Amino acid sequence: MQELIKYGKKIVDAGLAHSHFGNVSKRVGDQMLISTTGSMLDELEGQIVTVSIDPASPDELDVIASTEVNVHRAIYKATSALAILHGHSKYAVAMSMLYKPGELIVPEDAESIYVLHEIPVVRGGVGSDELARNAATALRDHKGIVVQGHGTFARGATVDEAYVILSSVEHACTVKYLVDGAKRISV
Amino acid sequence: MKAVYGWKNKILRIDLSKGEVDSFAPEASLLRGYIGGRGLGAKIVYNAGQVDAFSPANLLVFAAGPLTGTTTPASGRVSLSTKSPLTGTIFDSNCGGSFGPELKKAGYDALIIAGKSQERVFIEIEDDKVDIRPAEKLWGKNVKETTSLLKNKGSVACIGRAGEKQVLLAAIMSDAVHAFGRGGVGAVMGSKNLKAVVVKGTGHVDIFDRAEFLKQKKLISRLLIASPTISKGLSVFGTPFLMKITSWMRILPVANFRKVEPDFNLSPFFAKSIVEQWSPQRRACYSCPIACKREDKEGNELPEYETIGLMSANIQNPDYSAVVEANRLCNDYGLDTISVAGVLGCYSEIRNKGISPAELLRFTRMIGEKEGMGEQLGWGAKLFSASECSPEKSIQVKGLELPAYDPRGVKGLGFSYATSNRGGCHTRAYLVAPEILRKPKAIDPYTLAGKAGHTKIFQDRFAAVDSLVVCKFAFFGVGEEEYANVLSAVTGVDYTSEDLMLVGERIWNVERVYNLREGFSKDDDTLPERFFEKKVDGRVIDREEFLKTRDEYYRMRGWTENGVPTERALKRLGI
Ligand code: SF4
Repeated sequence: MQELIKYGKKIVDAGLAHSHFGNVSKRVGDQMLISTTGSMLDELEGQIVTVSIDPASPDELDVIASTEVNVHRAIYKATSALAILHGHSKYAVAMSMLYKPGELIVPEDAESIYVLHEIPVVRGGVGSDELARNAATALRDHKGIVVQGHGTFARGATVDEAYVILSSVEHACTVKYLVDGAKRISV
Repeated sequence: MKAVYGWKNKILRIDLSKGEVDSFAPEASLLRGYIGGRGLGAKIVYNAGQVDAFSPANLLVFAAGPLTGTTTPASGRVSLSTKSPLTGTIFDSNCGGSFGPELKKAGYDALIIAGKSQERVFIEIEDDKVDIRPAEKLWGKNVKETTSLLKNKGSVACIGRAGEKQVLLAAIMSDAVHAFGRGGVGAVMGSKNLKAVVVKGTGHVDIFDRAEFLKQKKLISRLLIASPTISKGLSVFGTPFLMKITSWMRILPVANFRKVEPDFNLSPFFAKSIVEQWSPQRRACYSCPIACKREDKEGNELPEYETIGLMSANIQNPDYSAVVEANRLCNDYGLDTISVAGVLGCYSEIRNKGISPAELLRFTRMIGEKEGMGEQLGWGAKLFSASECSPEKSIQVKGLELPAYDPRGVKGLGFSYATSNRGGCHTRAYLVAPEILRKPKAIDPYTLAGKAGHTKIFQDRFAAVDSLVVCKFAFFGVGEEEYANVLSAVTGVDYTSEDLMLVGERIWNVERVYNLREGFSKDDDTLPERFFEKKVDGRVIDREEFLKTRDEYYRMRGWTENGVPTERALKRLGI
């Protein structure tokens, strides 16, 4: 719980989510701790609920859990992730709109290439079954993805690792956006 | 004659004292300015002047709205207005089922029942044919039996033995399982020697712009499905999904609002356990895709959240099946479950003991039969506690027992109990939506800051919604904009969402002026003392802050510092 509260603050401080957007979760056995809908990531005290990770077993607290609770469930079911962070950082969202769903953003900088390899762009409405399916499939092979026109999902074996991925996606997208822009200007 | 859309432009009036039936066309300004349902009922009851709740002059006004009888999603509800014998306030009660649509299809926007019959009677309406018929053979029967004897004649709204005996907690039951609950409205019906109203309509409701109506209806249906509160909560579990949430938030009242932590395991009362143990089937009111009602495999109704919350932890009963049975008994006697549970909570505190499952059933029967201790319990928590010299143990506002949310943990909701025109009720402002379910936008439940404004806006909003008449639950997914559009398409009268808010404000002020005329004052806009004095879970309502919020609320309403609407405010609202 405390870990999610700590990283919720870091996500907002680093500009990886704004206002009431973004959500965080951590798997504990066959349950997950997840932030509530409408909560602010930098004020998560008392705003985290525990629900089942089984997609076949919806929980009453789903109603007040993040609207993306089904996406988190699908990712936990499809992958070995133990933590998932979701943010709406600027360059990741901008880059996702320059790509088509199914395409891969290939980072330019060495660190991002090393950490992320590439970043799939997926499609799906907020909290939709389509997004749950696409995000879970893409995260089987990758640690971070961007949802077109929406934001980033990052997974990790720890909350800290998921945070590294979340910030790396934004860093990779920022560098790539600037490099691509500079190339166009110099041509 | 100019064509009328949405409304039927006809109100049926029955005087039971004289045995007379007539109808009239209401003024266009009445329908436009108050829409229907609760608004129309409030204006008619207000215009009838000061009456005693049990005098023949008290009216029962069943009122549909312009959307009733159309296929607008969640528009199958109907409103009943009267003066409450429990609270002494103006009172409206909102009910599902199919009574409203049948009334509308029979050709009426509203049915006004005045007077008192010498004989025991029921009313039978089939379109233009209206009969007052003897009910001697029905008298003494409870709701299920009465309904099954009459249901081949149409949709039945009737009282059980509790209403006949004028128990102050009596409800009127529609189609056996839907309640015109709260406020003792069933006792008013009993006082008129009226056992039932049966209505059947073969007509339809004319729609001004069908293409636009269908477009708006489709949009509303889409928004309803997209709402997580509906798609993950109400449609999956029914209202009991709230049990786990209120328990997680530590606002589920325990031991007559003295604690928030029960001494027993609550999980059998949670919706998921109920699904596993009882395999509930979904049931819906007329034209409602949400279908939040639940029944067991035999088709018997299962209790709603408020009933479960108050008949379990709040009276210290650990047995869910006893709640199911007590709920059925209440429905059959025609009793309001919240008030029955509220008075039993009060009794248990006064006697300093929990209510066992067997006692819950025994006391419910005794209240319904008005016998033994049941007679005093049937007065409601306020009078019962006063008779026991323990008024501080009644958890009520203006005589109406509180629902299952401790106001110390949902302070806006608590403030809305205090300022409610019908007493301690969660549905007037329905701040359950933003403070508990975080819709349409989450607001901090633990503070009173900003709640004067929220309360006013939500009170006005739902006064308008109750006048359309549309189920409040639809507003988890849809806003007044969409319903203003559908209202315009149905009636041909151009309504904006701000127009709806203004109608809501007008209704709220009419109700307020009624209550002031009855002698209510600022002092009644308060909460039971324990919420200011005793902490639960580290929370209490700060009295100073509460009083400041109340002052701010009066100012926002354009009322004097004593909570009296000014001439100017009333003029602005056209009252
Ligand atoms: S949401 Fe439930 S109470 Fe409301 S109209 Fe639908 S079935 Fe009836």
